Amino acid sequence: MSTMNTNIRSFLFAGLIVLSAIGSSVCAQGEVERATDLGQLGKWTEAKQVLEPVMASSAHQSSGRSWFVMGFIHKELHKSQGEFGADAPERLAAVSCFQRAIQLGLNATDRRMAIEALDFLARSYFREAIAMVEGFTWGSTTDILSLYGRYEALELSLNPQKDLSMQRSDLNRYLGQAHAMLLESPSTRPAAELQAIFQEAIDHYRAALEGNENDYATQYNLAITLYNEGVRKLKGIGHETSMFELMEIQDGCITLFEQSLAPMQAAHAQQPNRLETLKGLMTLHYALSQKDESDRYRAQIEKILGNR
Amino acid sequence: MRVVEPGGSEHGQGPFRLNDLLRASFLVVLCCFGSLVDAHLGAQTQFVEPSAMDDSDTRSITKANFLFHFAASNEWPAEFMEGPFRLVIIGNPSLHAILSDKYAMKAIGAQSLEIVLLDDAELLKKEPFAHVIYSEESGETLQKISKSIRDQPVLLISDAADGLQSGALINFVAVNNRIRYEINSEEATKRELLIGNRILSWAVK
Repeated sequence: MSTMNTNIRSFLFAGLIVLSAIGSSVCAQGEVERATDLGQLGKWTEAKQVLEPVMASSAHQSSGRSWFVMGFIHKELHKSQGEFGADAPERLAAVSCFQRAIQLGLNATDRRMAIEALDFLARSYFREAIAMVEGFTWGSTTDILSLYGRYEALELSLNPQKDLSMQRSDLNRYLGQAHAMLLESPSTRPAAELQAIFQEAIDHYRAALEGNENDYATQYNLAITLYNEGVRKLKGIGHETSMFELMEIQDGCITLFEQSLAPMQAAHAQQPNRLETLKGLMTLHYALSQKDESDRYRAQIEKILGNR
Repeated sequence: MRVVEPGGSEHGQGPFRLNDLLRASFLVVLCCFGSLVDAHLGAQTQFVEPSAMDDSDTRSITKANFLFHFAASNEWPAEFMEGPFRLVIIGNPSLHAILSDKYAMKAIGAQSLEIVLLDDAELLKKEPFAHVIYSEESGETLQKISKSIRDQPVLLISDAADGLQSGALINFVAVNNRIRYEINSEEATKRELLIGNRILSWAVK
């Protein structure tokens, strides 16, 4: 008799647990559906208020679908709030939710959509990085690289085999040129800042070449940035510059001109009839007091122009 | 730029409508997104365009700086240290322009600096006394210039392989890609020109 009672009690207890689990799951499903409905109406904040507080429950914690819907809510809020920056919280949360949803398991349709959403978020980091390069200001490199880093990490999480070296190289080239443009624009920046900007420009161009050493534009722009820096220093000489300083500055300029020669020659090797590189080489050799070499390139330019 | 994206709400995408029609529009949106990104990257032409090379005449800038130092660091006989200090450039308008731009308002000691450009060495005859003459001529023409100022305290500066032999007191030379100069101190002494120690110490000869 007592054995029978124990069995009944166990059965009832087990049933209670099953019912409670079913109830909890049904309840969780209901919250997801309510959030989904609100999302359909564009009420993302309200959708978040419904789902976010209950996400800590075990039913939601283990539900890929819940994380999937939560991911969309964060993504839409990210967009509607106009968030920006590598650490924009809604975007970070959206990424994390989609990644978790995929990890927990989704049906085929949801999985594809989650991947597409992650791809969109990755690209949004990239676009933002590029937009920051377009409106570049001194000191924003760290933020740009952080955004690009998020893009790269996300893309690689979606496709570990993806080769992103060209994108990285392009970004570095854009950054090199953005810094070079700061040097070319009139400013009252202190000399140390100008030197730091110049060094950043050179470093970015060189980093760009590591990923794509045969890029004409990078080679040419690197050469020009080195050369122009030499000219800028030369122009800085004034009546108060001593003979010793004059010699020292000239040495520094010549070193920059000499450094400029290799990338200019590399660019020329790729497009031997391009006038800008021929002019570059003519000018560089002239600046290096190598008249014969300079004249040789001048003759080539005249020949090309004569044939037009 | 408004970005259209896969799974974005702008087109009713997301987990909210999953019918076939919307699935199709999804693909359209994807294509649009790709084009927009391409267009966006294509709009980066300012970064793809090559930078502009500074067109300044670097050799003339360097020479202008040297010429100013040669004018300022040497000594002329007392009777020539009154009135304007005249620096004549023969046949190098670029050098003249740089000198004028940078040093025209400066003084050499108590003398105001006058920078003159002559197209031809022949025009020197009509010119008043010049403290410094710079010419890129060589050979006979340079010798002629030198003869025309014989026994006068004129600092004749050249940029020619035979500069010193042809009568220049200072001649620019290329050493390890740099512009340096050589001096004929003996001739300078004969002309009562006192070449400054700093100028002498940096000469290659």
